[in-house]
Amino acid sequence: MTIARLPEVQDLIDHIGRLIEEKKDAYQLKSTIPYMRLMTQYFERAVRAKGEGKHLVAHTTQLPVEIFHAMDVVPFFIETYCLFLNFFEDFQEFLGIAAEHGIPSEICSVHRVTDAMVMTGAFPQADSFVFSNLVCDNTPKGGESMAELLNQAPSYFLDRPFKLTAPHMAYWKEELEGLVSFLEEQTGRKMDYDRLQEMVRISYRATELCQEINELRKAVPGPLPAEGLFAQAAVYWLLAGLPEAVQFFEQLRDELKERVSQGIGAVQKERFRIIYPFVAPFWDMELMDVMEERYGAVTVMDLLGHWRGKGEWLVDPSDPLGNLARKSSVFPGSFHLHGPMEEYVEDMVRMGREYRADGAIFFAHIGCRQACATIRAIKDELQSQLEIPMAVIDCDLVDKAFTSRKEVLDKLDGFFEMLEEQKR
Amino acid sequence: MTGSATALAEWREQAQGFPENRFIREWKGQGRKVIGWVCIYVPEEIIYAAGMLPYRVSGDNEELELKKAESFLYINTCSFARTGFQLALEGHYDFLDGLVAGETCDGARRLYDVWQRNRPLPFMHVYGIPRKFIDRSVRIYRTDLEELKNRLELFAGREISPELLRQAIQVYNRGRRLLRALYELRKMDPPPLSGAEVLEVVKAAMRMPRDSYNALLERLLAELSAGNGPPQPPSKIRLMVLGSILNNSHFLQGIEEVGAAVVTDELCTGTRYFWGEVDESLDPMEALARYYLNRPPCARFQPNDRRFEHIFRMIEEFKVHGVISEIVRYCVPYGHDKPFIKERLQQRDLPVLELDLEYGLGHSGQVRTRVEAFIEMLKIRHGIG
Ligand code: SF4
Ligand code: SF4
Repeated sequence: MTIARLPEVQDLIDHIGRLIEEKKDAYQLKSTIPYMRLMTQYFERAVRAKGEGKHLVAHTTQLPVEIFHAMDVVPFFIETYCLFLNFFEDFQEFLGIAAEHGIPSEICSVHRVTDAMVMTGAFPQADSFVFSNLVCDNTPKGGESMAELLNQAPSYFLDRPFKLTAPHMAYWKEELEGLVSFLEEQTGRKMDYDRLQEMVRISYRATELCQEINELRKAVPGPLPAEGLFAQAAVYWLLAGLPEAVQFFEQLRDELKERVSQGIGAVQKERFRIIYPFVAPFWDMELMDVMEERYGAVTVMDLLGHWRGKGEWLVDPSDPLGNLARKSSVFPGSFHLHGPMEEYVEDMVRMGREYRADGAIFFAHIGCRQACATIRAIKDELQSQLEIPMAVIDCDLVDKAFTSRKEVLDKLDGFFEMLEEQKR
Repeated sequence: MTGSATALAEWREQAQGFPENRFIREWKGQGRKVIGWVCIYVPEEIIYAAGMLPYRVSGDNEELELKKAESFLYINTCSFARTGFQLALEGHYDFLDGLVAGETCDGARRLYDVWQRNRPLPFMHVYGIPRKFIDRSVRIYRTDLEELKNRLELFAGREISPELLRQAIQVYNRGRRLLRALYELRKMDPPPLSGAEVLEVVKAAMRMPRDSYNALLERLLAELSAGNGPPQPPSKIRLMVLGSILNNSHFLQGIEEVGAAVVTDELCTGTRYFWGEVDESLDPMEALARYYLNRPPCARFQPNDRRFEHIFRMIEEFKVHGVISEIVRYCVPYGHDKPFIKERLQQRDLPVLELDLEYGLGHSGQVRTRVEAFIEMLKIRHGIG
């Protein structure tokens, strides 16, 4: 089989660069271009790491990246890279390679693709590898596969407890200490705890800003257009602890504040306020623009932006690792997907209520078992407590061949018609 | 499955009735409680020491029509979890007074979640299971076991004293030694009992009071050791089965009917369930935490080397010619390991047949054809007629 050249990190950087050029006047938000630049810079750092003699750490999702930044290693967030690249590329080639290698098709496509990326050297060879059980079976197992496929790169596995009572929190903190020791061993440098403390403080500031932004998103009409939805999550995921994340969130907050005060919504005439109790339609992000234009539907909140409660996690500023451990109990995605289902369900009901949703859309990614098993419960509770109907769209996060846009739109047409009826 | 051994005949009779059997009815008849458990990281000894009967929730023996369960558990939940919940929805587990689950994998924990939400039992408990084997993992696991014990004490209305735990450990350890002895006999050529029969024997351990079980198993062993087991066909291809939970012995029977003997396994309904013993010299809760966490591991633990080591030990000890790797559809932990096991087995020149199944599958034409071809290949390889 001849394989076309597989896309690499540089291709992603080029794609984003082109998008900035082509679309710079088309975006509603002034902060969208800075967001894209931040992403480009992040991936450029990974590409340059080797040449600059930096230690490159590939890692899986939901980890406290503040630790990497404070250790002055260059992190490479594998799943986020996969999601970003999927915005521009079709992954059939990677999926085919994974299948040839014997990886069952029921495994989350993100992990099949990232395994294939490692096998084909489609992202830079990392010096070390960090993975965890956040937030599903796929992450530890996919992480383990990748570590092995990365020529047995030295790896560290973080075991995040299922419940987070005091003893479990202590265990989780010890796991993070283990990560620090691992990185110290790999780099030959010691952790600068003052620096970590400062980064944790900066990261907490970013959390506060995310909360402010989320408060603004409760306004009617909803001020955040689809273009900003993933930005909020991605900037925190990749850059938590860095001042540039704070600057970005300040800019976004100020911008939303202005829009709210002037009554500017994401769409000219907001007809429906939508929440996503799981993820956005990552395999076809334009669907969100289509929903805005076609139905006047604004995504007012999604799981990846929704912190638990008030999102408070900085309790003792002199204990940075303890705080980072605590963050995991309020961090969007972590507590939803790695913990008892009832907490997830309750949080989605809170989301529906606080954001005054008219409807919910659950993009049921076929590879995600622990999220999809909550569908019935979330649907029932949204309906019975708030009379919010929920549409379930069968899909695959990054396999574009799984479903067609037409199929999805047919279903959405029906759903929005029903919402329309309900409004009358 | 025909034979003359009296203990074996008794087994077959005992095995009648699923999920409820005569032991459960007798037990409940005495006003005692039955606690269901999901996943072998729930120590049965603690339940037993509380005066309650631990009963494994295994889902059905057969393939089921899962429509009811699927309206609660999305189609991508492994069929083991869905079949378990289907039985619950149909009322077949109504004899349970409680359910205890370990958060071993997405399938198991969501099975617990939907059960709790839609069909709650008087006692419900779930707890995390660390994925590592290091000291602090044992510590946190023990903390969770202590909590389970405390809650069971409240529910049972009696203290689970260290003495009661010690007694329970002794009873269960005895069962482990007997099962180990049964597996020792499987090293013979031909083994005195088919793989399908052995699976039924192991499963019974999880569904009946352990002391009665031990007595019955002891008799069976005596008969088998004296050569009074059912007649076995002569020397055959020796197979090992590994992978996700396997409950339906007809599946093994189907394999054995085409000219092979299943002589060992790496299954949570097999060696992983009873291998090793709880250290009776330690504080009982500490001993339980150490034993359970350090047993031959499930695919969800890190690193997977330990799992692979157990597999290779089994292959060597039981003189295995080939391996059948069975993965329940949507079983992510075992699915991920699949290519890595295959690679390692190939490096050892051990043929492997990979089967992706729906849980509960028994005989199936398609599987049979593949198994036949696999066994034929092994026969030629080993010059076995
Ligand atoms: S989408 Fe679901 S299965 Fe895939 S990585 Fe995320 S949580 Fe895991
Ligand atoms: S280990 Fe596999 S088969 Fe067993 S419950 Fe988990 S996902 Fe299902």
